[in-house]
Amino acid sequence: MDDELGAALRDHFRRAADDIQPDAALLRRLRDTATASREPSPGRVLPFRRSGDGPPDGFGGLSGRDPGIARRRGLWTVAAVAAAVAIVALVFTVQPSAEKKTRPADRVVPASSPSTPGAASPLPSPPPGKLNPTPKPTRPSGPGKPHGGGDMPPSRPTGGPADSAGPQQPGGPSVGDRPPASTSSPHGIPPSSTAKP
Amino acid sequence: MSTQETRGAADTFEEFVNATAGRLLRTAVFLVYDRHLAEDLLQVAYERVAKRWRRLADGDPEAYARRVLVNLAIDESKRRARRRDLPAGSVADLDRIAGRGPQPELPADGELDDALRALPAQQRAVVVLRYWCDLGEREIADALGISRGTVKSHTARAMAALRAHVREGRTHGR
Repeated sequence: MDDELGAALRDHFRRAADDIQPDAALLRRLRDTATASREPSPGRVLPFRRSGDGPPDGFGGLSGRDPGIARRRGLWTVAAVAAAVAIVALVFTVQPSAEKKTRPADRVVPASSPSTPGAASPLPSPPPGKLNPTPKPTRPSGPGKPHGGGDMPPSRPTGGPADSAGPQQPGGPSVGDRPPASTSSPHGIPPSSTAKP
Repeated sequence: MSTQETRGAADTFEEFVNATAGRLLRTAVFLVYDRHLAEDLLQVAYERVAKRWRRLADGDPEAYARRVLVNLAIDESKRRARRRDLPAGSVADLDRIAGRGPQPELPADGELDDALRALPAQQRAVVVLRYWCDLGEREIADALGISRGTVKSHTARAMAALRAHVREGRTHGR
């Protein structure tokens, strides 16, 4: 059966081929195409008989791929590269500004902090970002012993030259030490009454 | 390259075009069943051969052109099927959809023609290469870039479809 069909196909192709002959115009076009493709000149477009559909759009390139696909692929590549460059630029732009923001907060912690590690400070810490150029050196604090009057205002203005001259005991006052008069005098309480053995 | 060499190579290529244009045009027409599209595909195939002419001149440029032609035809068929802007069925299918009966005056050859049009592009390419170009399985596999087993299966399916189509056409024709 396949032999019969094969013979019929051969006969069919042979008879149909008699009607298919290349005309002179096609031969000339093919030769021109060959000449143009071998000696390419910029801007020259190979003529196609039909311009509506088919190979002019579909097979214009040497690779046989659709030029539209190649163009879209190129556009996507360009967009991806542009996005990557934008992201990198954004990272390098944001990083220095973030460093600027964090720098003042680093300076808030005074270098000569009298507090002992582990000691609870009764006074609220200054808000971050608000600089206090003269930390109160006359606020002694013992280990685990908060000093009263934490929310009392200071009795004298800070920042004067006498501040640095006040007695300062790192580690807090020991038993029997006299606290500075500036911390206990506002309410008239004798210093000895505040000291606990 | 001197002018004389260029001129001589161009003459050789023109001779190649003159000698093979008829055969390749018929192959292209059998592949796509569209004369204008076949001419355009043939032009692209010759263009590619011309670009590689210096390497192909010593080998078999016609086989290369045929291979390009077959692949272009299959790609074009896939592209049209994707776009769905053209009917993929055969003329007989269109007649059946339109309510027209099969034409009794069509000879048996016309049935075969319709059956070939209705085949998928790759199966049709296998049939054309086998029964028009008289290529063996290995050459068909090389031309299409597929394995010999795939060539066999395509051939078997195409022949079964052709047989069924012709049988159906004869049944409807009577």
